[in-house]
Amino acid sequence: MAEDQSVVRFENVGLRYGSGPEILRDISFRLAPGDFRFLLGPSGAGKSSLLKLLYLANRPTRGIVSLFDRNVSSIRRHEIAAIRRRIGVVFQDFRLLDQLSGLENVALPLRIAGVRDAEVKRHVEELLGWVGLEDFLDATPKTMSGGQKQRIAIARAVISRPRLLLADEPTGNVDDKIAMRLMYLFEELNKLGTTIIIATHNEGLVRRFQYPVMRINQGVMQLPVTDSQPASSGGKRGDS
Amino acid sequence: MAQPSAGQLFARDNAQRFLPWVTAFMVYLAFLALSAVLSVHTMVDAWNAEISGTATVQIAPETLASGVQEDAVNRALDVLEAQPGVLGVEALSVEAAADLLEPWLGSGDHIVDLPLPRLIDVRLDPDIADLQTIARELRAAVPGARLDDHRVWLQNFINVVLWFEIAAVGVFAIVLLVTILTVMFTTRTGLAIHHDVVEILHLVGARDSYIARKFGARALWLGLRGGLIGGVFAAGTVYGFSWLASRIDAALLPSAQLSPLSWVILAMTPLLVSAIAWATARATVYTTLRKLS
Repeated sequence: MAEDQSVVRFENVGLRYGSGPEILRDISFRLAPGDFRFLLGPSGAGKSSLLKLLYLANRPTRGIVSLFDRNVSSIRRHEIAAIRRRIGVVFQDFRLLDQLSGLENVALPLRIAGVRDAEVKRHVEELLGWVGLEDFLDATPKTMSGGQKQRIAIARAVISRPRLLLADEPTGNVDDKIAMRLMYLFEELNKLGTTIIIATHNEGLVRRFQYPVMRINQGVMQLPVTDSQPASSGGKRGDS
Repeated sequence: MAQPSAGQLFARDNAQRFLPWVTAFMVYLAFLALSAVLSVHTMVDAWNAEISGTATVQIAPETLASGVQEDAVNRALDVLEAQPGVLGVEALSVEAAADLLEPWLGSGDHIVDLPLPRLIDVRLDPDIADLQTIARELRAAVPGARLDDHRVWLQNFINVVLWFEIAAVGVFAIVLLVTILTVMFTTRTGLAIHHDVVEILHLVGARDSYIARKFGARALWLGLRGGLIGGVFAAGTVYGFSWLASRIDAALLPSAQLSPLSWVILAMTPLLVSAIAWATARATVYTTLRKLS
């Protein structure tokens, strides 16, 4: 039964902005709970557009996008929030709220979901310790380095244990040691069943962790063999 | 560690700085308009209560040939006392009438020589007394006698007051409309200025209701601050006018002082305006975000 479930399913998806050319063309793939994928491709290939479809910032101009076994291609506006609460996103430009402290930024998804104060504080402090920012609880993003902001953004994305984690260049601004630590965090989350897609240019990271790779070039995707099957058989290391 | 406030999420912009002062001015105007309506209403009620239990019988001077004056007055008194609902009658003497006219005609014996009408003050139970019957029987007994229940005069006055009240309610409505438009403008501007914050909130799972709550809370707080300032100044103004009015020697005018209930109603004005600001901000967030999607 679990094999029939999908977290992400794209069927012949196309996307264009306005009357411009198609940014994404005929993209079809399927990811099951616990899959881990790298998304590779040169700048302008359509990685960010694909991620936007996944976190419902855009709607496909054709085809079907399904998340958690639900067609979201024409989802109604008031239903989006419930889906987004199951998705964690790490943005390349972090998108932190400058007026909130590090702790408050990380806590935001839990606060919005109405989690109790004591629980929020405990989870956030623990996670900030994990990403090495336990001394930055009260610091605002304006006083942080790029790497620190990135770790705050990652902590915010994973704090509510999402079922799908999307990360756009999550290790782009940190040194190798921190990058490894963040990847281990993603792996821990993945072991708990979270499906993870990491868009990156870092070929070294891809070689090191050996998760299946989805390559995108000029809006067309090349998939690992497993993702073109009716249901993913698991995107574990060495599948690609 | 509390829920981030609206002030934390949305840094204050110029439009929001402007809101408390607009609200203060609007509350000031609304307070004055409402207090005018309430004080005039109090005055009319007092006047109405004062004269609804009274009437005046006037016996024209030409019917009062010398020697028969007292006879006519006595006949009128007999008729009045026999009517159901008449609680008491009192005839004013010529000297008492002369005293009433003294401010205009001066003192002296010559006043009593003038052809003055004779007046009878009548106290009535308005629920029982039939004024038409009393007037008819009076005319039959004393030709030229006229019963005046002051209603015609009061009705004219009430008509004037009604127009005044309509104007004041109009001012009140305009004030509320301007408040609504101002809050709509402020909220839309805030959403435009903080669109990046709104987008982030949506991306981490916030519903429109969460953002509407934040903007509503901000509008309520700014509205209450402005409302309090406007309310305090308006109360001072109204109190000042009341004090000035109390120093005017106008014996014919009943008191226009505001009742305690009126003050309670007036004290609700800042709360009303703040509540409108809160509701408008929330509604504006919902409609604006829906249009943007």
